Amino acid sequence: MHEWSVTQSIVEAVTRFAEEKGLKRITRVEIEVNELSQLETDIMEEAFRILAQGTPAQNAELIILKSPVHFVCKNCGYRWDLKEALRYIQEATSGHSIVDEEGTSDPPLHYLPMLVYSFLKCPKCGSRDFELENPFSVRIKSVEGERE
Amino acid sequence: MSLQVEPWEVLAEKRLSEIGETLLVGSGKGGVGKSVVSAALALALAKKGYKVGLFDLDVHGPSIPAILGIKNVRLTGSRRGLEPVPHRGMKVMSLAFLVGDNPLPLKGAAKTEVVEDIISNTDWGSLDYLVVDLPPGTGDEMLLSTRIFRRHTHRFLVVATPSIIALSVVKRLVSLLRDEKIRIAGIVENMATLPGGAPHPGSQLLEKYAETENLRVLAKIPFDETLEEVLLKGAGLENAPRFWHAVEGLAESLTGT
Ligand SMILES: Nc1ncnc2c1ncn2[C@@H]1O[C@H](COP(=O)(O)OP(=O)(O)OP(=O)(O)O)[C@@H](O)[C@H]1O
Ligand SMILES: [Mg+2]
Ligand SMILES: [Zn+2]
Repeated sequence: MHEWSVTQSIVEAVTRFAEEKGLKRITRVEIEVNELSQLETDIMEEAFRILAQGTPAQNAELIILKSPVHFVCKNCGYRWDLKEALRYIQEATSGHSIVDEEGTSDPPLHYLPMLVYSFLKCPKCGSRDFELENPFSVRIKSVEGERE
Repeated sequence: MSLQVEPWEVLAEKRLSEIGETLLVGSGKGGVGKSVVSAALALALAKKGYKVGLFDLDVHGPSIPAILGIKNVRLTGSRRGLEPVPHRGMKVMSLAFLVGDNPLPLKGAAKTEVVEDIISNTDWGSLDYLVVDLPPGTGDEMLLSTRIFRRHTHRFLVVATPSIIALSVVKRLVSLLRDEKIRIAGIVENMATLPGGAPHPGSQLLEKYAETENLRVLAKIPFDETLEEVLLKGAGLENAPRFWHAVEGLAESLTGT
C-alpha cells in the first residue's frame, strides 16, 4: 500500500505549489512513476481522489505515466528491459519482501526502486556494474491550474 | 508549469517535523567509530527514557544491525510508509533491513535516490531524538542528508580520532559544515587512548584545534579492547564498560540530564 504514501506526497507537493503560485484550482497533474517500483496506478488514482478532497487538487485530472526502465551493462554492453530483469529480481528479492497491514507482500523495490542494484546482475555476464537509464522513483512532470 | 517542490521532500519534511531533535553523527573519515558511537548513543538516550530513533544512512556499508545484533528482520509497511524495527526501547531503520547481505553497489543518481526514498518513507512517528549514522565522507549522500535535516532542529557530532592524519579531514569537514549552516554540537573524540590505556599522543592536538575553532570536545571515548568481543557475542554495548561509560557521558552532555 505504498501507493498511498506516494500519492499523499504528490497531493501535498501540488498543494504547496498551488499556494506558492497563487493558484485556486489545480486542473491537471502529470506524474511519472518508475516502472521498477511496480506501483499500481489504479490504487494511486483512487488514493488521489480521496486524499485530494478539500485541497486545490480535488477535481484535478491525474495522469500517471509509467516510465520504462532499461539496463545497460558497463562490462559487456548488453542491454535489457524490465521484463527480462524481473525474472532475476523476483527470485533475488523473494526472501526480502515487506508485508503491509493488508497482508500483501511487496518487494523492497516497491519502496526503494533503486535498490535494484542489490538484486540484479547482468543476465549475460553476471556483472553488477550496470547503468539504469531512468534512475528515479517518482516525479511530478507538470501541473496545470487556474488563478480564478 | 514545472515544480520546485519534490514529493519526497514534502514527505520528508512532514516526518521530520515530528522529531524533537536530530543528532547527526558524521566524520570526514571512515572507520573512526561513527556507527558504534551512534548505536551506543541512541541506546543511552533510550535508557534515559527518551523516544529514540536510530537511522543508519550509510549507503556504502550499513552496519547498525550487525552492531546491535539485529538479525532476521522482516520489515513491515503500511499506508504511512516503512515501519522502523523496534529494538530495546528504540526504533531502528537501516538499508541492511531491506537488502540483507546483498551487495549495494549504488551509483551517483541512484545513490541519492535511495537516500531520498529511505528518509521520506520511514515512518518514525513522533520522537524526542533521531540519531543518524551518516555515510563517511562529504559526498552527495552526506550533503543531501544534511540539507534535509538542517531545516529542522539538529546538531552535528563530529566523530574524530586523535590521529594527526585525521585532523586535516576534521578541519575540512568543520569548514564545510559551517558553510552549509549546520549546527555543530562539538567533537566526539573516539579512541582517545591507546590500546592499553595510555593517552593518545595526538589528543592534545585535537583539543587545541577544538579550542581555536571554539568547538566543545563533547566526550573522550577511550579505546576499549572489550568492544570487539562484545560485538562478536552480540552482548549489548553496555558490556564494553569503558566505551559505554563515555557514551553515557556524551548522552548526558547532549541532553543536560
Ligand atoms: N572506542 C573504541 N574502542 C575500541 N574499538 C573501537 C572503538 N571505537 C570504534 N571501534 C572499532 O573500530 C571499528 C570501526 O568502528 P565503526 O564501524 O563504528 O566506524 P565507522 O566510522 O562507522 O566506519 P565506516 O566509516 O566504515 O562506517 C569497529 O570495529 C569498532 O568496533
Ligand atoms: Mg559506519
Ligand atoms: Zn554484462
